[in-house]
Amino acid sequence: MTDLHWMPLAGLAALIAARKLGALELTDALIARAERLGEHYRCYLTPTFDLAREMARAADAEIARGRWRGPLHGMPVGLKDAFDTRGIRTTVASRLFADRVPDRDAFAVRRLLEAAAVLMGKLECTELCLGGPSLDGLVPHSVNPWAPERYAGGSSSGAAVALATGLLPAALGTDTGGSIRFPAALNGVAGFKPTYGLVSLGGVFPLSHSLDHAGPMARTSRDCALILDAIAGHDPDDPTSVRGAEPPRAAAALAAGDNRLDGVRIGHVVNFTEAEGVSPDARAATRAALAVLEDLGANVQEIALPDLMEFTVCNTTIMTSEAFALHGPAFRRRASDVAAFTRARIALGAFIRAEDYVRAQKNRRRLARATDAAMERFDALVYPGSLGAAGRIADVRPFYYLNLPLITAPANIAGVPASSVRAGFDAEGQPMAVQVTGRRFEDALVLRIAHSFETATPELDRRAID
Amino acid sequence: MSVPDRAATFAALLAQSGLDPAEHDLAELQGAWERLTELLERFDSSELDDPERAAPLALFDPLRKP
Repeated sequence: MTDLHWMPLAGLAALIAARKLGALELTDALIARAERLGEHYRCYLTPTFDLAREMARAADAEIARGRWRGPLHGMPVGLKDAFDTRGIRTTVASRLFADRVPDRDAFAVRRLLEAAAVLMGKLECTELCLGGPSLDGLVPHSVNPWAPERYAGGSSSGAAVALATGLLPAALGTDTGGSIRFPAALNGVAGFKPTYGLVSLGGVFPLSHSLDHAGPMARTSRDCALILDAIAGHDPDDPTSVRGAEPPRAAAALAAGDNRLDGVRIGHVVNFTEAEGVSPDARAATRAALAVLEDLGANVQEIALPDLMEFTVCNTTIMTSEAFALHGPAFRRRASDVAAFTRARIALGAFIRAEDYVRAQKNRRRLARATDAAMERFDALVYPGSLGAAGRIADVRPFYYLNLPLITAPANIAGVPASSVRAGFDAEGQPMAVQVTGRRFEDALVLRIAHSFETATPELDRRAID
Repeated sequence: MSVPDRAATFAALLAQSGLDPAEHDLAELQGAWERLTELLERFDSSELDDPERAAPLALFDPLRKP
């Protein structure tokens, strides 16, 4: 069987369910590819290949006995090294946690294991989920396969690079201001930040409790839906986990019909697309994507939300304050063990006043209310997935987000579901992306719109490497 | 505030927070702090702070509409 490494999760799952592909065969193929390419792209921080083979054998044996647990049965997955894994070190790519070995799995990891997924290893991320790109931390940043001199994004960079290089079909990431969607956009893969509270944060490294989200990453939005269905659910040990929310059944929503979007009302957030810092190529990719959505039957109208920089400042103030509150004590003791960019970004938290934090939380409600008001007329909002192509690593400054907006931050502020969807390439061949966001707990609809766009634009499926 | 005054204020804050100045790029950090302060002032809303009109602080609750 050829090109197993590029098959989407949904296709691999169908083969495994039909017993035309063994989990061990797939796992071995991906391990062989990782051993050939992994050192160059640096996306694995702690591979667990022996364990993966053991889990794949067990998955095959269970299927042979007639029990198939679902689409993730026997599926190789990688985890951003921010998810606790019992008996496997979890470092968040920091010397502060270099020897930390959790004694239990994160809730989302437990859900993956219950679905009989195969754990391939822990993936590189930028340090403490807010550093990078850096070569002076515990591990160097992952290499962008589209252009090695450019940033792969962060903080779930290892996951995005592993997907873009065909090392994995599925991964979990975390997202506090865009850390799933930003690297997904720069690497041309799919990333989904669920509604706040839908996926437990239990056992996930906390950067900023009120903004953190955990979610799926894959090469297609359909695959993200399959992963989301497995990991979503109430966790009584996590106070941010929502009790009583309907399961997203996102994959079923995609499978139910064709890719038509007749009657779906989409708002183009035109002041985000036109915001300072958004490149002409990113604007063009967004407008082209909206034209495709219209062709699919969606009713597209322009709307405006509050200033994108206002969302950015609100996100930065809350995230930086909460990160310093959480990690200040360890940071004060061992600041010199932290990479320079991470050190600067954490230290900024020492200067934010309590009144600024309180004001930012109040402002968050105001911005979320404005987003909700806009959503009364629409089923989804669309705007660029990133400001443009990945920047050159040499040009990235520690506080770039104080001078340019974080176009992913509004969905964290409002807690709404948000997909990053590949949307073509710029003149230099760098991936472009759009975001689709929706109402809280309407995750399935967001993924359906993203999936419809992807299936309508197969010409945009391109690979960085063979 | 003059440049030396701002630097002195910044250094005092750094010391208060328990950070060792030798471990940080002070110029960069001060620049970021000043930029963030400027942005916070730009987006400041008196509606949020007026004790008679401001809504009480309620942290984000995913189950309640804002």
